[in-house]
Amino acid sequence: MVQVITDDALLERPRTLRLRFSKVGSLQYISHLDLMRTMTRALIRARLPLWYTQGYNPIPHLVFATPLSVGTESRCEFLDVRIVKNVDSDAVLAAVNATLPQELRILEVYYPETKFNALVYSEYEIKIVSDAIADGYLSQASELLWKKPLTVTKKTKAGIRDVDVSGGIRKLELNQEGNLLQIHAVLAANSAEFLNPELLIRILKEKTGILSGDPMQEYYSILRIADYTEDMARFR
Amino acid sequence: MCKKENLSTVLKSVSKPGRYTGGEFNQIIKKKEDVAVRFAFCFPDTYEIGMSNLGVRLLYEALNREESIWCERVYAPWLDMDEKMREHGIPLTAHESGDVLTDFDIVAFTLQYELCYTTMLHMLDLAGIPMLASERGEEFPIILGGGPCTYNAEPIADFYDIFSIGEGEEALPELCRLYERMKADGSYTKAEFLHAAARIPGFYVPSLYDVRYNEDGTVHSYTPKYADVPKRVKKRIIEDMDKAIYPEKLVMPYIETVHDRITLEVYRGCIRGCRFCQAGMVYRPIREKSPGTLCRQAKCLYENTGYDEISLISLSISDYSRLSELTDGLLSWTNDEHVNLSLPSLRVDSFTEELMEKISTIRTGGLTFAPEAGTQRLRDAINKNVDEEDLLRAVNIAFSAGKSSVKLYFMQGLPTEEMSDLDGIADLAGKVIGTYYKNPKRNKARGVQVTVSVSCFIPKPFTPFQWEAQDDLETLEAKQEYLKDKITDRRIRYHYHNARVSRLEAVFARGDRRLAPALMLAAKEGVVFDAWDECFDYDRWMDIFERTGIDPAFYANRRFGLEECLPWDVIDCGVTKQYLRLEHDRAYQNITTPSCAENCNGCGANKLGGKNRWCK
Repeated sequence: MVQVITDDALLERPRTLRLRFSKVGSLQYISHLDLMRTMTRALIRARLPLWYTQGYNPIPHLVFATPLSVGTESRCEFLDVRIVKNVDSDAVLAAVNATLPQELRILEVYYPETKFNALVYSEYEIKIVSDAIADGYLSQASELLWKKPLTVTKKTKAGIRDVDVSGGIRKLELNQEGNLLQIHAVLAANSAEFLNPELLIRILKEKTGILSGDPMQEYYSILRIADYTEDMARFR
Repeated sequence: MCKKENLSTVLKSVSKPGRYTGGEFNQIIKKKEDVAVRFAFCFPDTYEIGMSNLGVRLLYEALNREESIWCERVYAPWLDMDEKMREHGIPLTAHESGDVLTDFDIVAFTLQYELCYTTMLHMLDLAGIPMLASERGEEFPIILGGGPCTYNAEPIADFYDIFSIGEGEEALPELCRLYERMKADGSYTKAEFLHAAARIPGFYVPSLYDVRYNEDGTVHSYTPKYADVPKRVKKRIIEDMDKAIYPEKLVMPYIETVHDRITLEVYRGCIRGCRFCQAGMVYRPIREKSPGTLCRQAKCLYENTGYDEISLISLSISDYSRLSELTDGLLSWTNDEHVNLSLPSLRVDSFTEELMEKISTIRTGGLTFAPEAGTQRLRDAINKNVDEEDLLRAVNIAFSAGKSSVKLYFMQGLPTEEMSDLDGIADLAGKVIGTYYKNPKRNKARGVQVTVSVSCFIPKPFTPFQWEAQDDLETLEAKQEYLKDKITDRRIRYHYHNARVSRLEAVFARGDRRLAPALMLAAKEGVVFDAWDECFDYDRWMDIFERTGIDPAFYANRRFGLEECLPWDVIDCGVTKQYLRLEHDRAYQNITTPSCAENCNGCGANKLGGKNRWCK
C-alpha cells in the first residue's frame, strides 16, 4: 500500500486537492451518483486523509466539475476533494489507481489554482455508425447542425418547450467515411449553459432517421476529450 | 458473445445499464486456458438483489480460491433488457467473461425464495438451455441448485441435475474436483458423474430416485435407483466457523444495491425455535464465530471495500453470546473511520439502553420489533418467547432516547389463531402509543407513529408447522379486512402483505414433482419475476394450475397427515421429524420450549457435528 500522507500534522484548514480522471468503457453507464459512491469508496481504500462534512451524517466532501451523461465517455473529468493532512500528489495518483477498476483512471493530481466555474467549454469526439449514413449525408448533417436557431424540444421543470441551443456551440467539425459520421465539437459546459452532445445526435436522429435500424449494427459513441476556460485555454 | 460496441446501443436504451456491464472492482478474472472447471453462479433475480446476497459472496470466494475453478456471476436481466435480448437474439452471459452460459461446465442457481422459480427457468431459456434435465444432452452444462429452497426442491426437481443440500463452502469445490478428475481421466459422462456425485455427502440427484404417489395424491415413497445412493440426503455444515472461508474482498457494485454494505456473518443457526420459522430449524446447529475472528474480518473488509457500514448478520443478533465484546472491538475503530454499525435483527427481550447508545444506526434509523402475534397465548403457541412487558420496555427505551416511531411485525393466519388474537394486534399497538405518552422523556415536539406490518403465515418444510394448512384466500383476506377495521387510531399505520402472493408461495413451499409442468408452462408463457408487485399475476397462475390439472389447495390449504410421507422426507436437515412433531403438539397446548442457551431440547441437529456452544 502506497503511503500518501507526507506530514501527520492536521492542517489548520482542510485543503482542496484536484484529481483529473478518465471514465471510459463500461464506466460510461455509471450515473453521477454511482460515480460519487465509487470514487468515495476508492479514496477511502487508498487511505486519503479525507475531510468529512460536519453534519448529522458526516460524509467525505467530493465535488465534480461538470455533469457527464450516462452513455458518454471522458478523458478529462475533474474531482475536488478536501483533505486534512498534506499528501504527496504522485503517491495519491498511484494509491488511488491501485484501487480503481481499469476503466476509471486518475491521470493527474494537484492542488488547484482555479475554481470549477472557470470551466466554460468541453470538447467532444462523436462517432455515429448507421446504415442511414450514405453519400451526401455529410452536407445534410452539417446544414442541420449549423442552423440558427437550432431548436430542440427539452423537458424542463416548466414543462416541455422548444429551446434554441445554437448559442452553446463554439466549434463544430463534421467528417464522413462510408457509414461512419464523426463530429468534433466544442460545446458550452458551464452552469449557465450546458449543451449535452446527445442533443446533436438526437437532432440528426429525428431529422435524418439515423440509428433507427438494427441496434446490433448501428451505434454511436461520445468521448469528452478536453475542457476549456472562457478564452479557450485548457482548464486545469 | 456480441462485441461490446454493438451492445452499446441496447445498453443506452435500457434502465440502469450498470446492471449489465460487469467490470466491477474486485471481480475475479482468470484465464480460461488455466482453469479446468468453469462455474456460472446464477442469481435468479435482478443484479441489485443478487449482489447483496451473502451466500453468493461466500461461495464466489470459496470457489475462486481453487486455482482450477473460475466462478463467475450471472443475474436475471430486468424486463426491458430481457425484451431487447430476445428481440436481437442476445444470449444470457456471465459478468466476468461475457461468455454465454452454454460455455460453462456447471451452471448453478441459488434458490432463495420460491417465487424466483419462473425467473430461474427464464434464465435457462435466455441462455438456450432446455429447461427439463431429461432433455439436456451431454453438450449442456450440469445444472446445479442450492440455497434454502432446496430443503424442498421437489417442485423444480425435474429441471435440475443435482442439488447441494446445506452449506456449500466445502461441498461445491468438492463437486468441482470430482468433475475435473472424471473429465481428466476420461470417465466422465453426465450419468456417471451424477451417480458419483450422489455419493458425496450433501448432494441430492433427483433423477436417481423413483417417486411413487398414493391414490389420494399424497406421496407414497422415495426409492433410490441404486444401492449406493443414500435413502435420505443429509445436509452439509461447516464444522468450525472460525476456520470457515470468508471473503477478504467484495465485488464492488457501481450501482446502488439493496444491501450495499459489509455483511459480517456472526453465527449460523438460532437458539430460539419459533415454530413457523424455517431458518431457525434448517440452519441448526448453532455455530458462533469468535469476536477476534469477526473483528479481523471486519477491518480487512473495510480496508478492501471502503464501505461506510457494517451489518452484523445472524438470525437474532442479540442472542450472540459475546455481543458486547464484539461491538466494543468494532467500535474501537469504526467511529473514527466514520463507519456505521447496524444490527438488523434485534429481539425485544434483549434490547437495552446500552445497545441504543452504542449502535449508530439504531440512533439514526427506525426501530423494528417482531412480536409476531398479538396475544400471549398465541405467542406461546408459536414459541416466540417474548411477552408484552418486554415489548413495552423496549419501546420505552427507544422513546426515552427521542424516538417517536416504531415498526411492529406480525403474522396473520398462524395455526390456532382466533379473532381475539387479531384484536390483540390492535390492542398491542394501542399500548405502545400509551407507553409513549406516559414517558416523561419522550420527544414532545413530535407525535408518535406506530407501523403495524402484517404478513401471512406460510407453512414451510422442516418446521413444527410443516403439516398445517394455510388459511384459504378468503379467510386470509377477511382477516386482513377485520384488522383494518379494528385499527382506527390515526397514529397507527397498518400494512399487510398480498395474501395471493403468500398463497402461491405456500403451494411451491410444500409442493412435489408434479408441479413442474405448471412452472414450465408459466415460464414459456413469459411469467417471470413473481416476487415483484409489477409482475405478479395471481389469476394467471390460477389459470396455469387449471390448465395443468393442479389443485393449489392440495398443497397450500390441506392439513398434511402427521404420518404422511412428505415430499421433503428425502432430505435430512438434522432436526428430526420426531422433534418437529413434539413441537407441533406443544403448540396446540400453548407450551413454550426454552431456547438452546437455556436447555438442550434434543432436536437432533447435534448429530451433524460442528464446533458450537450449546448442543449436548
